[in-house]
Amino acid sequence: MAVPPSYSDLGKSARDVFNKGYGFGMVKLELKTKSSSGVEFTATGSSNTDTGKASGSLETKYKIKDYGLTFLQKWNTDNTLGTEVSMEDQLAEGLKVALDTVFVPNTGKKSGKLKTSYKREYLNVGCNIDIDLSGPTIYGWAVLGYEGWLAGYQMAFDTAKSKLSQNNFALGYKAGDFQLHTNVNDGTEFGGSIYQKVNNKVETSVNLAWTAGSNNTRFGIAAKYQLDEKTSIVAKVNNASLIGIGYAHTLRPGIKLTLSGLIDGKNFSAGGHKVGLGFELEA
Amino acid sequence: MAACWGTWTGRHVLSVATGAGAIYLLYKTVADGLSGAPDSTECYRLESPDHQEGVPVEEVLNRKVCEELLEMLRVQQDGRSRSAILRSIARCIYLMDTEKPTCSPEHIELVASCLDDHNQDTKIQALNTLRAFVTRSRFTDKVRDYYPKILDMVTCSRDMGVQLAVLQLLNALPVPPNIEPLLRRTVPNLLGLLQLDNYNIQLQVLRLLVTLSRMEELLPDILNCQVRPEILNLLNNSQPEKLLSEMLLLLEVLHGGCTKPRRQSKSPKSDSCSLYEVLFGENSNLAKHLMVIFVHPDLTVQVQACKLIIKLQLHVLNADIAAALSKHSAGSAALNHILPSVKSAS
Repeated sequence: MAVPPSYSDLGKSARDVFNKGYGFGMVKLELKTKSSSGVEFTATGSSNTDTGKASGSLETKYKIKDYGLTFLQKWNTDNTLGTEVSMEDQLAEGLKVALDTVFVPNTGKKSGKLKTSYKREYLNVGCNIDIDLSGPTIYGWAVLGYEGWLAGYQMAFDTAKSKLSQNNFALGYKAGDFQLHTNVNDGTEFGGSIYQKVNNKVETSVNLAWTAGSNNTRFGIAAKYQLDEKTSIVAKVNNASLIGIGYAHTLRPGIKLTLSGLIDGKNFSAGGHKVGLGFELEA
Repeated sequence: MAACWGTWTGRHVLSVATGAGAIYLLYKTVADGLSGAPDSTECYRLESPDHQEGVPVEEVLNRKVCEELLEMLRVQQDGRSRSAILRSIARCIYLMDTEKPTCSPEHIELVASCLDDHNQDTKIQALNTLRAFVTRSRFTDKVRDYYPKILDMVTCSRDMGVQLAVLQLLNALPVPPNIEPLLRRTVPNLLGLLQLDNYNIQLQVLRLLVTLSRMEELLPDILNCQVRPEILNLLNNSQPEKLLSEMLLLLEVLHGGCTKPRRQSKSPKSDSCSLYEVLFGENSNLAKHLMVIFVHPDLTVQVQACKLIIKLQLHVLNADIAAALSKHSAGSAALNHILPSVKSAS
């Protein structure tokens, strides 16, 4: 059995079919470049058609492979500076330690998180601690994998209140072209997803969510179709009759165009449907 | 030589000056940040796009858009703009993948404040947005605090769009405790809405009545409500199967509630125009209407009609048996050992 994924990556394949390739109500531009010294730059700008607000971010990543170090710095138009320093496979094989800090120069507000994770065959565990002097919150998770079966547990413990604020379980099965994922959050919220790679061109996904004591059930169906090596179409619909469609085309190597639309199936004549445009450049 | 030396020295001086300036600026930024007093003692937790583990960028952006829209709603006064913003907020919530959106209870209050808007469309969108919030379990209790106000809108509003949105929201919300007095006052209005020629409203009213009929405290009040005999005209084969199905379910629940043994004070009164008398009274035409429904093309409706007919006939049969037994002293003793349904039927 390969190394199992982290808890937050359980069911990721199904979520990706639902989330990737869409950008409703947004015009987005993303630029990725890499310098000769190995520093990666990612600049993103987006404008929301609903709110009319524009935002941007700049991210730089630098890796020192000999020491297993990665430096990541981010700045966005909300004037927040994020810095993450991580070290992987140095103290022990499979062990990753990272320090993640966020700083707002305008207000002086700052926060930090110490993240550790250890992965090996059959096991993936992690622990994050918010660096908060008034009482840190400890996040822990563990995933066991055996013969395709995956079982995970995630918790969050607020030391200030001495209370378990999160108590989640997950169980799933992962085969080559099929993934099943189920989860229970805090004993009340049930969810599940199924992902299937039908063939090399088609991927489908279904997700369900239900809360105990409520008659509200959420579900959605999504599919991705790879027209050819440069073009893909994605579509999804949920129980609120919101229909999403996305079209992505690689104009030439490193230049990708994404068009997306959201249609409100229940109130089609009321208008207010959304469109989105994305442009990704990679050097 | 002197020229080369000058160029070399100038270049180095420039480099040193630039480097020193950069270091000084960096020091000032860090020093100001560490010494600056934060606005609150709580640690500010900011998650920028790509910064949240396991959460796709699109999901993070969707949450951010939702927050921005809620902020816009706070400042926007124009009715049309507010209804457009509310519609977008509802969509954002329906699109959110996670069970824990970043909205707060204060946002629920903000949306609920739009229920008082003069613009009918704003009211409708506010109700629809609250219904979107109800799909997230952490907000259900907060929205439920507004149940009395929402219930009041059923009686106060004359706009069909508002009435439909109110009913849809009431059907999505669990009934809060200790609200029976208010529900008792609303039930006659609900039965009145049933007589409107609007399929969507009738369907939502029936669903709500089914929920309320399952509440033992309310059942006698529902059965004692004054209605016109024409209410049974809803049971005809020209009605859509969903409506018929809900109507039959309501009749089944009402009948089931009638046959349960209860205290005398909670029994329905025999009133010529009460719902009880129209449905289950001696002069009721319910059986005739059910026989017509029995030949409906939809199988589910047929099965439901058949079940209800059998239950009604069994009830009548039990009543006859109980009446016959009670005439003889031995029969009265035997009656005490028979199932409560037979005793209550007498």
